[in-house]
Amino acid sequence: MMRRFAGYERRALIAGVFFIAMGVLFLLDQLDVIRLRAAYFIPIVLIVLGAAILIGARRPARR
Amino acid sequence: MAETSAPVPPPPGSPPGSSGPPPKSASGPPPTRPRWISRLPLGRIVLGGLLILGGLLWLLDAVNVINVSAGVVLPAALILVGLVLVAASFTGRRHGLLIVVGIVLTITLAFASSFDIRLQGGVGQRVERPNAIGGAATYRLSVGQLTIDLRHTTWSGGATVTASVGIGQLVIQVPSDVALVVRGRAGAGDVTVLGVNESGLDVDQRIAPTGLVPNQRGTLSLDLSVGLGQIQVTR
Repeated sequence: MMRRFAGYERRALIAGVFFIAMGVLFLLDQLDVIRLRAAYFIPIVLIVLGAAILIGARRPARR
Repeated sequence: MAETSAPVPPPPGSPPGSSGPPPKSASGPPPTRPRWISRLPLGRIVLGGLLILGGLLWLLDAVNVINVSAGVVLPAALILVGLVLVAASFTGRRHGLLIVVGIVLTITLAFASSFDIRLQGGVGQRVERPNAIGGAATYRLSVGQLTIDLRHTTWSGGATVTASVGIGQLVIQVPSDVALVVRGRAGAGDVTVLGVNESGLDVDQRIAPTGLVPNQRGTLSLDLSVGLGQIQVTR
């Protein structure tokens, strides 16, 4: 489905999914359903960012 | 050149008014979005819409029409930005402004969560002087100064007061003749309970009991928290 439309922006798609996930986590934290602590939260963000960069590096940069 | 500009005659049996060859099968080239969708300035539309919506909610909260918590509105805005980005990714254009808005919201909310800042209960300076407490009472403020004066408050058989300030100062004034159990937490800042001070990151001060024998009013329990700022409990 994703490849049906010519020229989709993969970076926007990854950023969108990331923002949705973070928004849900922050919402649950503010509603006291879960508790985000800096000691857990910041390493997870670093891991996700690193993984995103590595996945992005698999494709050659477009000119 | 002549091949591309020459009109293609409609095939025999096609309805009048139609022109060109019939569409090819699904194995042909991928369809593209209409040009007007690709040209929509989505970043500006979403940013403008969020600012208008945020302003409206804030205004309605200020005049006490509705009760809005920034702790819900900001994550909801981040989810909305994400959904628009996912939808917009299929237009094939870059949406730098939307990504910047998402990053700013993410950093703000990460900061709030890291220091346990509860963004609930409005903004400003508030003084509460309850006449009576029926067992338990809760007070919240997002940003500002919250003063709770319990010196003339009545209750019987003990009471629990829970209060939180996201960023700012929380001041509690308690009667001099009541036994106290206090828990004061600060993500980053300063907690002073009856002259005993602790400061730094992740402060968690517990004071119980205060030495006074509980009278007919029982014990007053205070559960206090501030994300960034100060807690002061005085008699």
